[in-house]
Amino acid sequence: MASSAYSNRRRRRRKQPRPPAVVPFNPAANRVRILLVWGLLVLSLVAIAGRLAWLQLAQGDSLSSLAQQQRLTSPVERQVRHSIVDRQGNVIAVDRVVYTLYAHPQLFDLSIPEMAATLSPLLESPESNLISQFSQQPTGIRLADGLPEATVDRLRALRLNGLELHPQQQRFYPQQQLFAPIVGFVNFDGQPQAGLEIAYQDQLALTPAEAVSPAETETTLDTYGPPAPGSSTEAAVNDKASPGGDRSVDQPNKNTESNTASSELDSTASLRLTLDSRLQRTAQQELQAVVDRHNAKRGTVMVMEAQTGEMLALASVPTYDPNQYFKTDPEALKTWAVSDLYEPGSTFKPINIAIALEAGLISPDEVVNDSGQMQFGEWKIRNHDYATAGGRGPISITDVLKYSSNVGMVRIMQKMPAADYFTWLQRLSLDRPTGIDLPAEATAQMKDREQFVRSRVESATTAFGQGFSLSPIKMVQLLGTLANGGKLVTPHVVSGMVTEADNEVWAPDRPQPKTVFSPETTQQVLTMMEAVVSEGTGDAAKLSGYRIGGKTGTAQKATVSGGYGRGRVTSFVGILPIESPQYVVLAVIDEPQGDDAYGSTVAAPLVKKVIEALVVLEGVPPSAAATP
Amino acid sequence: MNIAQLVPWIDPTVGQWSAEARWLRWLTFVWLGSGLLILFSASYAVSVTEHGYGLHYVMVQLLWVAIGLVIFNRIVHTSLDRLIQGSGIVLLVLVGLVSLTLVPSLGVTVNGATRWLPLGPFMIQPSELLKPCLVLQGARLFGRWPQLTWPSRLTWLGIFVAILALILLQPNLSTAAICGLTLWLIALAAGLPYLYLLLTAGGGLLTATVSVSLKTYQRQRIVSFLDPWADPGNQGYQLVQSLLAVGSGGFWGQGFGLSQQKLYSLPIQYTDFIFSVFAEEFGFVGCLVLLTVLGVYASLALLVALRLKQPLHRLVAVGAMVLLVGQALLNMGVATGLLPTTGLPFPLLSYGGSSMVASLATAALLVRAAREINLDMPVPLRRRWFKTGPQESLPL
Repeated sequence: MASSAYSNRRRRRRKQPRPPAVVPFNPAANRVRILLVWGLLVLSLVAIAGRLAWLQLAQGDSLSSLAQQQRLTSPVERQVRHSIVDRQGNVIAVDRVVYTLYAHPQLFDLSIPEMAATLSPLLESPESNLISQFSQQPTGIRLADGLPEATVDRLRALRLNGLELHPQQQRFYPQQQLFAPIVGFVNFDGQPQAGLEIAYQDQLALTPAEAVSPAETETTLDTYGPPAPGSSTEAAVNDKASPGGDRSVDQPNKNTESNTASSELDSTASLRLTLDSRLQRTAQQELQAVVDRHNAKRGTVMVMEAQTGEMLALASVPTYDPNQYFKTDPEALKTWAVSDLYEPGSTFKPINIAIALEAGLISPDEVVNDSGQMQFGEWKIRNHDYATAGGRGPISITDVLKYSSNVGMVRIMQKMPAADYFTWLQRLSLDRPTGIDLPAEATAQMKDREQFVRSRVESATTAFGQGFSLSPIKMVQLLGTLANGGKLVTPHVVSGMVTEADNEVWAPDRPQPKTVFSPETTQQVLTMMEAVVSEGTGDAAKLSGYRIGGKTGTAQKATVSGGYGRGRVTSFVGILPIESPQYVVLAVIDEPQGDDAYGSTVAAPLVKKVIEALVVLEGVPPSAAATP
Repeated sequence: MNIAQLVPWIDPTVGQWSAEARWLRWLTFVWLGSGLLILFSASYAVSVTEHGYGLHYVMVQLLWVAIGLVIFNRIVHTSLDRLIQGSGIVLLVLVGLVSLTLVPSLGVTVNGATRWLPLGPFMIQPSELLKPCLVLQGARLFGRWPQLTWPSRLTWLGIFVAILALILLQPNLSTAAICGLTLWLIALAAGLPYLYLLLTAGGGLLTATVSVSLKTYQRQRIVSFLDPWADPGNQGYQLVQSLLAVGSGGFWGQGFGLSQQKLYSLPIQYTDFIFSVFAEEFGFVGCLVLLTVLGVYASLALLVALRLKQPLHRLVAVGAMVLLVGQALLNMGVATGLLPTTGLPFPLLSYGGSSMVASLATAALLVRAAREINLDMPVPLRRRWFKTGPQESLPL
């Protein structure tokens, strides 16, 4: 020490001429320097205080609301539409949250192969695929779409870095093809595109999401009018539980809950249909099988509750998966049973018999002459079995139906002046839609009054169900009159809006049914129709233990040029039980292929299958006096 | 009596200390205690998600506090002269450890920087522990500057530069910066000619500029510091989240434990951005109280420095003041966006064993310096008494 100090002093003496006393041990100078250091600290302290005042006092509110906003960006609107359920409460359409998974390989903690191995089973994607995806770019790789909540929970539990989940709301149809033509679908933008989703848009849509901010939750739209007092509190109590488990997803964000808090009634209520999933499933499966077997173009089978017009099943082929509507042929998107027309053929004959009976032109035990064929100017009308059976001669009205005699029908309807016949058809509101609650219902096409009256062949062909066209649903409505004692009920698939506690809070208005036939008339027709099944062309629909009335139909299809071609529409209607008619079952198969394609061979067995399911599901007791 | 002495924060000799020493000791413990409470709030949520129970970080921190307090007591009862003498060898060991972190198989890399050495279940950061030694050695160099020859001055300066360079290599720009700043301010307080100081400052700035222009990540930091809102999701994320937290505090704050930002948005909220959590929970009022505490601490340190007669001791007090208060201010500057984002712990608040031990040791140096105010006068006799007395009773 001493030596270094000494040499230091010596060296400075030699090299530096300035006085050595200036630098060391000047307490006053050092004091100033220390104060300088302290001053610098205090200065930066004051600067930070100033900065804090700026941030917390001047900018506080805007920064705080920015922070608030940032916390609120993630919650996704969990539900924007009401669910749709069947008559038992089974979910047909429900809103759910799905996730899109993005990967940012640059943020991975694990190596890319490890990451791929971890994610592969969860995403059900081969490791090699994932590895090649990861190497595309360092960030923002879209790995998977539409991940359900369950998968996302497992993903989150892994706590992996470099993954990002984007929630989005999606309409989910758990029954897939089963109800697609009826219910329709909502596209990815949340717009209803078909079926009930369009027809009941006002009832199904919840409060528009953007209109609700925490400040204005009071003003929620009430989409379906004032609910019954008391039902709202009940719904509020039930809000926490959720139907079917599908919606029992956690609501992690307080804000979502407060947003929906005032519209609890809305979100838990659902649109209930009259359809029965179980019956619908059987009907759909059997219909599909028949359509496949006969290589038919399309088909439908419907079950209507005759007194009310409630549709228990409305199956149609083709159908589609509404969850993947984008893969669908646009032709399949409509309910053809409602929106398309066909010539009913012989299934219309019971209606004509009822008209004739009601008008008092014939009595049930009357006899008409069936000559096998008739000539109307250039047109020749003959029975379908003329080639084999020829003319049957005098036969009863029941036999006319039983053998589906065209000539017999023409003879019966000829007893009525064409103008009166036309008036009768109008009374049946044949030229008006049924008013079913599905969009795009087609109105039947028939000749105008003048032509109908002038040309004798028009009323003659109408007698056996040709020369005019109607939709299958219209046909069900007309046949329903025979089953319910003569009332024109409105077929419908929507029962109403129900809360979770099963209180109906809204039901659509339906017109009073118009009575067109007397119960006596319809009972007489039904008795004849029972004979069709028990001993006539409807033999294939016979079901042991039950009294079923029916009528086959095999209609020729009009071609584009105006005449009739080789194409047919086969159909069958069944009404049961005859002792107290409740259900109308109609099957229509369009263009079945093969020589042996008739209403009795194609449609009647299908109706039998559906009736078998129907009597089991609805608990219809066997008839005491049924013929085995 | 004996049992009481096992507890590191009980010291029977305190009554005989100078008022400044007692005040500083008390204020250090207030700072430390508040720091633990703030850490509890800041780390609870993240600890629950990472470890399943909320007290993990507080418990580990308490362990290090206990170790730090033992060292604190040891330093407080050792004369500054001895400490300065002994610090050389400790510094050498720590520099060796710092260079060990550069060995790929030994150093632990976290967030792209290799600053840690594994020590059993814990990790130590030698560059943090090195700080108090650097204060002592800096005081030793600059306090005796006039007596030293140029070769020895340059040798020592070279050693310091080498240490800073070593820390920079980790890379740990923030620690290097605070160390350089502390040495520079010690030199300033030592009364070195302004020309030298300006030259050194210029050299430091030049190095920083070169470093920034060479390394893209540092340049991005600067750019995002200048306008964090330009890229709030990526480059500016940390700063933006910190600003949101600080701003959300408002005048009175959200209340203890009620910070929202610490839950999901704010990164490393229990270490480098712990002040943001504090600012959100206690608001502008709380921040003013904290700043006042720091101001009082600095002023007490100033008082100590002014009352000390020995230039070396004086510089130790100045260095300790700069290291504690200055680093706290730098951390606050980062959190409030006054300085570019760098990873610098808040002394006695941030989670981290090495930082805690280093900060307590630095505070102990200041307290020891305060105690030497009285010892300066009647030099030989009482110093001997103190040297032997407490050492017998310490369990170390």
